[in-house]
Amino acid sequence: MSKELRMFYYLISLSLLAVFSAALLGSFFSVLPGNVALIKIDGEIGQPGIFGGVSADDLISLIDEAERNPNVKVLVFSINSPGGSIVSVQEVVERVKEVQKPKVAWIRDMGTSGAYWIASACDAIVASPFSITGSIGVVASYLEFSGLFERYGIKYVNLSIPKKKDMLTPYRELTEEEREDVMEILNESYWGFLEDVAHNRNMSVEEVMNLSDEGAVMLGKEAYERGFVDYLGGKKKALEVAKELGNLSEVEVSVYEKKRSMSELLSDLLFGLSRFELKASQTPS
Amino acid sequence: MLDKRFAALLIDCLIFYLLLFLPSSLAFFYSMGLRDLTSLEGLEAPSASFLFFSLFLFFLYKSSFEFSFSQTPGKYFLSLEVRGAEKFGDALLRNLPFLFPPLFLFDLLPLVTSDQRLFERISHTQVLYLPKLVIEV
Repeated sequence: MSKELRMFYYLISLSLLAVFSAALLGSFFSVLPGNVALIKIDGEIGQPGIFGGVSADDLISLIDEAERNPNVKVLVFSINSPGGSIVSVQEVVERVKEVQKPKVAWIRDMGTSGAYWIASACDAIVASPFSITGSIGVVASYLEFSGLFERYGIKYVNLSIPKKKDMLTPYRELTEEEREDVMEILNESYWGFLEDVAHNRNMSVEEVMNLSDEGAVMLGKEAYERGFVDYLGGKKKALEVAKELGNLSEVEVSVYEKKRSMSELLSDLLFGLSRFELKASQTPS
Repeated sequence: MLDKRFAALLIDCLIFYLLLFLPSSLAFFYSMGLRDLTSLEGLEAPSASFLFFSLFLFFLYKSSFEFSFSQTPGKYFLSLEVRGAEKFGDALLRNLPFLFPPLFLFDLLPLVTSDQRLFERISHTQVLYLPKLVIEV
């Protein structure tokens, strides 16, 4: 065999080896194939556990992953949440706003309070006529045991400096001044929430305040009539809207979800139970 | 002879691009599951990995050809031969700057006074011009 022919075969072999190695290397960086990223927001935001819930960090990393993937043209948030911690929700809202790709919020059974805030940061909101949404407002609550202590002759001794240091302790009632302080904090948070929803929905603050009916929950149908929802429908409608916003010829959905490690599952199982008991006991009477 | 060596390198780059880089980049991005290759925005980590893989591939292409045939396809077309690459290690050493390009800063300096790069001197290898003898009647 001539040298030229041997060199040619060698070159072809090297090329095949390169293709095979590159394919192997590429498989380590594989991304989901769908042009629509479905990100689930299930349960309380900021309180993940075995009974549901999602942390802001997990949601943000899923959004990052979907945004980085060039296959993804539209993000669809499947929302089934009562809201959650204001800080976690606000972090997610800010991240959603930063996404340059079109975003659709699809409210399923429930998308209230903070979950609605996240939905409002999307380009379009789809909800079922029977979804529970709205509840635009903030709430803070804690258990107070002073009556119980009194009944059993237990006295709470406060030695704090300055005097408001132990405010919100469950062992005594709030003073009028402290109550005003807490209400001021709630008021600030409420206005921040309200103004952002108004800005996201292209509505005035007064409109949002009046139409949100003092923070009441509302059905998807009512929310649509009041301008808080853009389309009535389910998954089919949400994907139709995604198709339109992303100028897609066909829709292929990939679900983005956090893969939980075995240690996380075990930790949720152990510590989630205690958290569940606490949450249940905090349900307002 | 430097002009011939540079031309040989250009031919090698072209062959490498057409037969190794292009097919392997398609294989890499296809196996990643990418449907649209018009934008690599957000894919900095995989792109950087592929870039390093390509450097390694070119390093392997040059080293293995020079060890096995004493010349790369580019050098073959310009009648250049590598002498002294008796072991595969010699061929790898002389081509080390292709794997770590910043090394070229030092590697090319001796070319001002001679025909040997620094890593050719270190590996005791040399490129020679051996024109084919053509007898015409």
